[in-house]
Amino acid sequence: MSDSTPQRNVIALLPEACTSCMVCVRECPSWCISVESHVEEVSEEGARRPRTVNVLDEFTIDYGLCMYCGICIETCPFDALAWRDSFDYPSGDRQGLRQDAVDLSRWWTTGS
Amino acid sequence: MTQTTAIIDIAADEWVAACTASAARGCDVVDWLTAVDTAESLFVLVHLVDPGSSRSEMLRCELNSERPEIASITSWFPGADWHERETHEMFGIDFLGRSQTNALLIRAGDGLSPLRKTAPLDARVRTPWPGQESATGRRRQKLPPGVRAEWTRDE
Repeated sequence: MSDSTPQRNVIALLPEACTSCMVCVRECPSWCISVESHVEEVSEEGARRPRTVNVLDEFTIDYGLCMYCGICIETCPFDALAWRDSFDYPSGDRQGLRQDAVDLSRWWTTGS
Repeated sequence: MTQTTAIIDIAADEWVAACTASAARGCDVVDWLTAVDTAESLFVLVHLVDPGSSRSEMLRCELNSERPEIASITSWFPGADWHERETHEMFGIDFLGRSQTNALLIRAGDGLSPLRKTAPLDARVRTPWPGQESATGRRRQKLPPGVRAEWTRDE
């Protein structure tokens, strides 16, 4: 990545950092983000009670709706979203503009 | 024009006099006229500029939001005509004393004022909000931002 601020081309997701807190989903003015998650109990040695954690099942951005405002990136409390420079993701159909967690996390490393 | 212009608050019955007084001070061209609905209050604003310099004046008048009306300034400022038509159409403000206020975009007679805060956002009411459910499936916030509870009751 160059030193300059990335252009608003694509939003990359780091699924390990996402806690499914839904802040981006609620703040998105275009309603283009959807998050599915479930709760799991994690037992830790020495802890009195098991801890409950949110586990991310699916994270989708619909680029047919996204207006590239970047509010999701600004509001993410865990820096799980970031701009990347790639723009090569056109699609011939509406469904092709919906990018899931696999697509979005690929931008994190391959997005120039 | 980068300088900031102070807002001068005007009473509704002094609207025309205040605008013509601005014109007498040199600001005799309507840059724009519009309204602002803050949910608590409804204002009409006009930005008058002096084309010979960078000077401008911004006049603001608070209106009765139940029955918003104000005198038209088109007799003194023909350039306000289009802006008054648009403001009438978008905010439902009646501009008194002008010949006619033809709608620009909306079909006449449906009584809609789309830029008023009271105008229901139909698409937002009908579209499921992705932010409704939390991770645990609990409903933390029932309505999306900007959607009023009374709009959803008829559904």
